[in-house]
Amino acid sequence: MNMIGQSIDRVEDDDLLQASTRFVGSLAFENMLHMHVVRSPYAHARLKNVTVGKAASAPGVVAVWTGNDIRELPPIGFRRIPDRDLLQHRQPVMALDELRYVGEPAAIVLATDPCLAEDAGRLIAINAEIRPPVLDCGTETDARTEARMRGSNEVARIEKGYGDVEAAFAAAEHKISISCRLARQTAVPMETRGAIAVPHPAAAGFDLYGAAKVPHANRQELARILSLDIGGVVLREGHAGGGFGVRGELYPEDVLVAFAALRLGRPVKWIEDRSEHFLAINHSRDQTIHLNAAVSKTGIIAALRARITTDQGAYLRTHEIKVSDLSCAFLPGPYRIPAYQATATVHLTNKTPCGTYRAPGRFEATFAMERMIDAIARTLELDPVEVRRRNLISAADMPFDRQIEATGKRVVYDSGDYLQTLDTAIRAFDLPELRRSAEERRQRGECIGIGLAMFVEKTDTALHETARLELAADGKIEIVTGTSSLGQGMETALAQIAADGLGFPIDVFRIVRGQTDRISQSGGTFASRTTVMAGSAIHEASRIFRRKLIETSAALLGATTEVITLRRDGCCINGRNVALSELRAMIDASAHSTQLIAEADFSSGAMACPYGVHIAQVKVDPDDLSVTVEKYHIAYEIGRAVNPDLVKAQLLGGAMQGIGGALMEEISFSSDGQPLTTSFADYVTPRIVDVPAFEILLLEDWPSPTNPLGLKGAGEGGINAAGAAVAAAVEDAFAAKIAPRRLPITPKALFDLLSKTDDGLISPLRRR
Amino acid sequence: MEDTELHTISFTLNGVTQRLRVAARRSLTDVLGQECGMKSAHMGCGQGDCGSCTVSVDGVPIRGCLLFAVQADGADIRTAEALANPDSLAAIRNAFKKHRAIQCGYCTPGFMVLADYILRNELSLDQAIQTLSANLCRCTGYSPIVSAVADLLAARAERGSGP
Amino acid sequence: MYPASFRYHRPSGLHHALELLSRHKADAAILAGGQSLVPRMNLRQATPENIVDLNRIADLSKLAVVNDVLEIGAMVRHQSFCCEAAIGFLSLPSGFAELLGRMADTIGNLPIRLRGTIGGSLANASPKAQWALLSFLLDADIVIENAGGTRCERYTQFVKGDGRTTLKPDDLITNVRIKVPPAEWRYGFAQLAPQPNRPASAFALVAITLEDARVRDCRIAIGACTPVPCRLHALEDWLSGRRASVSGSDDLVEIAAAAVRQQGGESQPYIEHLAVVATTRAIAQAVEC
Ligand SMILES: Cc1cc2nc3c(=O)[nH]c(=O)nc-3n(C[C@H](O)[C@H](O)[C@H](O)COP(=O)(O)OP(=O)(O)OC[C@H]3O[C@@H](n4cnc5c(N)ncnc54)[C@H](O)[C@@H]3O)c2cc1C
Ligand code: FES
Ligand code: FES
Repeated sequence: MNMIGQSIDRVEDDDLLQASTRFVGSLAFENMLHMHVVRSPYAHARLKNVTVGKAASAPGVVAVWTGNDIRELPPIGFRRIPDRDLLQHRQPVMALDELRYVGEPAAIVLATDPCLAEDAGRLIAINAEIRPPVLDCGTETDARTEARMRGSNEVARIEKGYGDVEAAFAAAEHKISISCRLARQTAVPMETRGAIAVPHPAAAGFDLYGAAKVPHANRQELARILSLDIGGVVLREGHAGGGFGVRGELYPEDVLVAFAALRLGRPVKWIEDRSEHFLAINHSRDQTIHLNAAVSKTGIIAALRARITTDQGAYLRTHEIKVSDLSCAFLPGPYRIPAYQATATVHLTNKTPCGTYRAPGRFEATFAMERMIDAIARTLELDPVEVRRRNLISAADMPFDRQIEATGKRVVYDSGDYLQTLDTAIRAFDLPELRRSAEERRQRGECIGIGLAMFVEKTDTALHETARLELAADGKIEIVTGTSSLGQGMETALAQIAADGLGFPIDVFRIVRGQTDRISQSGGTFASRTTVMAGSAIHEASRIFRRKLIETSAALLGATTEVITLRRDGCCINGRNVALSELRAMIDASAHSTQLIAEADFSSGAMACPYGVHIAQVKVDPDDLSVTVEKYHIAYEIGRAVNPDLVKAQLLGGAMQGIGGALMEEISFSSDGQPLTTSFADYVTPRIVDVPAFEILLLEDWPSPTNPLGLKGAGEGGINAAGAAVAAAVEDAFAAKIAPRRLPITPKALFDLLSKTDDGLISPLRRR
Repeated sequence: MEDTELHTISFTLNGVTQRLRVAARRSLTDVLGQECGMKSAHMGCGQGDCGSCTVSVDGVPIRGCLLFAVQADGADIRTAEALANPDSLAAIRNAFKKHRAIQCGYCTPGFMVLADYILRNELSLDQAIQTLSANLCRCTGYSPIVSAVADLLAARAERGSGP
Repeated sequence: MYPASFRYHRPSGLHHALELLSRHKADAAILAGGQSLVPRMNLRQATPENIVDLNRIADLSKLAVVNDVLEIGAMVRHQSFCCEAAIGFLSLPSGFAELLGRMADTIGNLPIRLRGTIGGSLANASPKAQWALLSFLLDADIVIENAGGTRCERYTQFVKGDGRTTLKPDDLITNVRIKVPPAEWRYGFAQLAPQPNRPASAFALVAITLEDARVRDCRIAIGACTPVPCRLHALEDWLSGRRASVSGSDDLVEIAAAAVRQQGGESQPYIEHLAVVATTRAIAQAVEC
């Protein structure tokens, strides 16, 4: 049965629609305590002490702890260690001597009821000596700030490059430079975070519910921090309300619930509220990118220089400086660019720490690179599509070795024909017609623009992935994986791969995911890797399972393997049907047979690189300067789509998030470091009225050679180029009289930009 | 101040009468989730902004996070587990599934309550879109939710005009 | 995430409510629709010890026209004005009824409108409240009761600033009174928000009468961008007597901009710009409708 490529219904949906699944907020355990976190109200202060006072004896309170009480816990570590010097910037589980951002955990209350925990939290006083906060990259620091910043708040510098950049610039006919800026943003999944730790007897370990993303990595880190045997830490993933990169990293609160559960011998629950979420969860983006290109008069880029600065916030969290690294590595995108030199600096400030958010480093890099291509087109008076065409890597150069590394792994684009995909997109979405009708409407006085952007994504393959198939007692085949479900439909996609491999219908399978006691290893779910890595492992495991199934049935039924065929929900031997449940019973009854289990491990030396084209059509209201995205088209090369509808759903959701990033979303701080964005009223995300007409074209022309099924990831292609495409469309709407190079392009930002032009664009009302 | 004072309240929840003792400060969402076992009762912001908590109270969608459970004494409450009309509930579920209007599912109960209101009040598609705009979803990009509701409205119109 | 603990009172009549308020004074808060108070309580920005819930006092939800005055009970929900069935019986002039519906329709979103009340909105005195703008332009009277008696205040006297009114802790708004405007009045209302369904950044409300295609009388107010709504008198003076066709003209924009700037204080150029846009849109609507 050919299950791969079918847009079957999601196996997740019935449970979700009938509300028979539990998100962590509705889980409860006998004798459970509730944790409330008291957070720093200051952006920067020396912590003198935390006065617990009456909180400890308040009703329902079982314990109150401050940083001093957990001094023995080491800070939360990195998942890779790029540089030992950076270890000093890890985040402590609770603030010890210094408060470094508003929202940093300073004390916890454990009480029998969540209301009482919060009541007691209000009785705790933080006594601190307020210091001036550092709020910008490149701030010179002095004695009044912090020793860890030693004269400047730059804490890391990344250099990447290849080719003779100097020579190319010396010979260049044109030198074009631009500065791009991306505001601080974050993913805001609809479910806030939550965690429940349930201790094992004698504090030997605990089960942790709530997190989803990288359960095995978190298990290891929790065991290290809490000095436990790794087997004592069991992560149990349930349902999670969206991840997008921010959920599931190991955060202080995860460690704190575990610590408290172990100390107190009772289950401990913590549910984040939305305002805490805005202070506590990883922020992202917040980069400034200066680009310098050496360009021939025909628009061909001979060399590119990039200078990237990242405002990393107060600490380096699990992802250390990875986002900046990715920005450097993926900035050249789908273009040849014979010589490249990138420098990224990472700066600590007194703001919430940053981490990864959907297409980390790439949303930023694509924005800057595509804005550069459009700047070249404008300077040389060429068609922006033509400039892209002239610079794209050709199919003949595939696989294309970029000669640089991204987070320690060589960047090699595995397969594709970028030019062909560009042409396919232009044809499919009829770009000439889009442009013609936009021009016509502009003639009529409307402010309409079309923007196009290209990008290359990566599907992370740095870590290997194990999967197991197991015949369960009820006759279902369990697919055991350590990757996580964050709403993307991975259970469906993985079951399809197993069903495809075994020829069984989808309902024979049950996914067991994110349970660290059920599978020895997993890289987890990030960088669009789940379907590719876990899928490949499952594909292999199902081959082994099939062989074992036939051998075991043959042995149990005294037949030769040749006479056994697999059918609907079992096997058939000489006309006799044996259901899987029957087979399992026979195995259980037999003294000689072992259980049917097949495990496989998949690793890949190379990353799979999906890529694509985004086209946006926007309309700007000439008076209030609000930007409406009218149409949004995506052509995406996925290699091979396991479930095309699910891929489209990922692209669509990603694009909408990207449109939010392009036009609305911005986290800001006051001059004393107080966050000004602590609710959905301040952090404006897209709503239904903002939805454009979407058209999505999935291409399967270039299967990835890096894995047996030819898969490429789906999670980030929808968001990657959204900032770039929308900005290009806005630029076009104003006939290139302005160049929006800062995201988000809010009406106010547009107003300011237009105010700076000298041809009176800003009196839109007066133009009529 | 501790919650010394508990209030005895009763309401109909999905057609079944519930009697509860609750502290005044517990929101309806909190009580539906923690006391009544409603797994669809989700808090997303507690500020009225997101709509994850939307439930039907006396036939209209309201924010469960902004209503104290004591205020719901005597009310007729419906959650996504069992909307008023079983046929309509099944149709809403099918449409959401068919149009891929669910990803993580966290926002889904709230949108189902809005969809039910839209169908019961026979709103136009434009009005439906305005109504759905009350709630946030971060996964689907909304257009599948719009398609699902448009489909439901079209099916209803067809049935309505039939013999 | 959880409000501080409080004692909950559910008076069934106005008298009982007033008595509770006079007993608890500053330790009590009135709970109307809860759509502004409860968000603050959930963040513990408001921590009243007593809550007096008005939702069971039927008398406060009445709508009536008495001697040409529209009397709106404090507990009338925003959504009532969007609904022909709820206000049709009042036989208000159609333009006025339509205006009420259009203004109500821009408040938050449906679940908010179904709970939120006009009394709560006025007591809350948010600059971004549509009812504040309406009450200001139409000289609404706010009827306030406490255990000691009843008083009536003109909206302009009642509102003292962003979130500030003359209300004392034991005061309760029972009614809003608006003189039903003559049927010949035409209205324009325009609101600009960072996004649909978001509180306004600026809005404008215009009421005019026309005679021989000329503007006879006009009232123009803007809000949301100022702590309390304000009239654009200079613009009103300029517009009065002019041909209605000036509504799209550059001159009007100039004068509107100057009038807005006068009110601006230290407001940003962009917000000023929005106020001008809202004003000119509202005027155009009033002329064209
Ligand atoms: C997401 C969201 C969006 C919103 N958008 C808008 C918008 O665009 N425009 C807008 O105008 N509003 C908006 N609101 C606020 C909403 O309109 C509220 O309903 C309104 O501001 C307050 O009315 P309420 O009945 O809910 O009052 P409550 O929240 O119950 O009370 C508000 C305050 O008024 C006091 N109070 C209430 N009633 C009385 C009374 N009769 N006498 C004396 N004091 C009283 C209370 O004690 C409290 O201090 C929004 C709210 C939310 C949550
Ligand atoms: S939780 Fe109620 S609106 Fe967000
Ligand atoms: S499906 Fe995840 S928030 Fe809507």
